[in-house]
Parts: sequence; C-alpha cells; structure tokens
Amino acid sequence: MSCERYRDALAGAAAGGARPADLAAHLATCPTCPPLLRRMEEALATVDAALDELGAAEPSPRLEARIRQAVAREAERPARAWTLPGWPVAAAAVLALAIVGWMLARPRGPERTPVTVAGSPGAPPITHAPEPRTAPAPTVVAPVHPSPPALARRTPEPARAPALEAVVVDPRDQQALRRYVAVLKKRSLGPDALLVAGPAAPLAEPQDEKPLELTSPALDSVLPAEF
Amino acid sequence: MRKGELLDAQWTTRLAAPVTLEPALEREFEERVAESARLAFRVAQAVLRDADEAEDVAQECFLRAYHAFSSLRDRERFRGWLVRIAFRCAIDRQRALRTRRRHEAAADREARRTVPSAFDQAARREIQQKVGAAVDELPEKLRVVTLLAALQGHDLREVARLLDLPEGTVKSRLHLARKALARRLADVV
Repeated sequence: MSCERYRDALAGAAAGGARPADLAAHLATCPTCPPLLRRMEEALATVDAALDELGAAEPSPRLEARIRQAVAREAERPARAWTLPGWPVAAAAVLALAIVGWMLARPRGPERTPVTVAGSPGAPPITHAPEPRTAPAPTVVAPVHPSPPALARRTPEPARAPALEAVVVDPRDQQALRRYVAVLKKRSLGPDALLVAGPAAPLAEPQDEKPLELTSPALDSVLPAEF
Repeated sequence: MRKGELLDAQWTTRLAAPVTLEPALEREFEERVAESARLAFRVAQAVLRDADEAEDVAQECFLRAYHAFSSLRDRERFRGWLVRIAFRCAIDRQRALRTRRRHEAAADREARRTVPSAFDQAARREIQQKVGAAVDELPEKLRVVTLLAALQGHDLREVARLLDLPEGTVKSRLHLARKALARRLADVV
C-alpha cells in the first residue's frame, strides 16, 4: 500500500520531474519501486523512439500536386445554391408532414369530459375526476346515446352533435365501467337508467382525491357489492 | 473509388459555397501549400499512423484552409492554424475509421504481410502499436502536445507557438502526458 502512494511520483520522476525527498527515501528502502521506476523510464524511452519516427515520416512525392489539384477544382467549381445532405432534409419533411397530418386528423371533441351517471331523473350526477398527476389520457369508451343499439355497440364515435356527448373515461376505470354496464344490461334496466350525457364541462383538476360514488337509488339495488 | 475521391465527394456536399481567392491571395496560398504540406501530413500521420489516410487528411485540411484563408488576419499564424486543422481533421478521421473498423482490417493485412524472417520488424511494429494505443488514450490536449513535441524535435517553444499556448502550459501538459504514458506502459512495453 505504501508503494501505491508513490506510483504517481515515480511516474513523474520517470518523466523527468523532480524526485521529492520522501520518494528518494522510499526508493532507498523499497525492493519493488526501483525496478518499476526503471521500467517506466525504459517505457518512455521506447515512446520517444516511436514518436521520433513520426517526425521522419515523408508524404508521397505527389501529395503537394494532389493538394494543388484539389484546391484548383475547388476554385473552379461553379457557384450554385446551397445544397443540403439529402436524408436529413427528407427526414425533416416526413416528420413535418406527419405532425401536420396528426393535427388535422385528431378528434376535435373535448379531450376530457366528466363521466356522469344518472340513475333516475333528478338524481344528482356523479362525476369521477381522474387522479392528479401521472393520469393517462382518457379514452373514449362508448358514445352515450339514449337508444339501446348505441349502448350495445360500444364503439367510439366522434362527438358530432351536442346530443351525442362522448363519455370519456380514465383508462384505469374502464374495467369497472364495463362491468357496471354489463350488470345493468343483465338486470334489464332500461336505457333511461343507464349512462346519459351530462353537460360537457371540462374536468377541473381535482382539489382532493375522492373515490367514485354511486348514489343513485335505482342503481344501488342492482349493483354488486364491489361497486 | 480512391480514398481521395471519396473525400472530395464529401467536401462537395459539405462546402457548397464556392471560394475564389484574389490572385495575390491565391499565389500566397500556393506558397503555403509548398511550405506546409509536409507538416500537415506529419501531424495527420502522427495521429493516424497510416500514410494513405494522412495524405487524405492533409488534402482535406488544405481545402478547409483554402475556404477560410481570406479571413485569416495574421498570416504568420498560418502554420499553427493549419496544425490545429490537421489535428482536428485527423482525430475526426480516426473516429470514423474506428467506427468502420478499418484499422482492424489494416492491422490484419499488416500481420499477414509479416514473415518469420522479419521478426525484429514485427516486434518493433508491435511496440509501436502499443505506444500508439497508449498515446491515443491520452486526452486530446495532452495528445496534441505530445505528438507535436515529437514532430518539432521537442522544441517546446515552437509547439507553444503552433498551438498558440504559453510555453509553461505546453511543458506542464507534456509532463502530464509523459507521466500517464509511463504508468500505462511500464508493464506493457
């Protein structure tokens, strides 16, 4: 361990630097460091010899003429507009087109609307707001329509008219919502007891986290306990 | 396609704006080519250890110099300027070569050329490769000083002038480089 702390000083001494007094004292008593110092000095002598050969390297006799020709070609090259390498320009164009296409094709409806559940007319709407932070983008699960075929179809449909508000559900709640709808269908509840559209107000960031509450009396009697 | 031609093609895309120097500058540049072509080659050769590649780089750095020659205010600094261009071009070329693993193929060709009767030459070449690898591992600031010191016959004042650095900085960097090489090669060479 004591030799290790002299390693840098040994290299410095081998490179022609001064030998501190403590290094000299160590070298006088250590059996391993003097040979290491000699090896370092020999290595540097080899390095010097190898590098000195670089200074003797000669180019081919035609290098100068070759450079002159290249420079002459450069000087004679006709002026032309700036050209850019092909593939970066092509990639940028494709990316720009993709962004424009996406912007044109994306749905125009509100990105976040509340899920409103009404059990019976007059019952207070139940709104489930997504969790703050890290909440994935809500997914349109099904269009809300007062007719049974629309409920059975459960296919996304863009909101075209105010009467056809889409239900936007937090992805984490989709499974529960599907089960919920299945139970309603199983109990042969009419569409009036099912999902209806509420006012399409954008979701505000929830101030506090509240679990989904189902308070409709008509639904309480048919929902399984897990709801 | 020859290497030089490939280099020209690359430059055609990189430097699209044509440059034409005034006749006086043109003549001066030709003089610079005559006096400094060897220096550019040696700097590139020191980095690349491949004469063909070094000539390509020498040509490349003169083309770059030609493009910027009219903007060089202090013409007395041309050699230092050219050395730095050559070193930078050579480093870039070396990285590209490593990426393409060309240097391995070249080493393989060299090894196949070796015959038993040339044992001394092979051993010498092996040592040079080890030394070269150790120099390549130096940080660029230490590396350029080490190589230029060798090229300029250890005239550190000239190295300082070429690199536009104080002589003391050159000395300390060279000492650091030699310490690193001593530690690295003590048990290898």
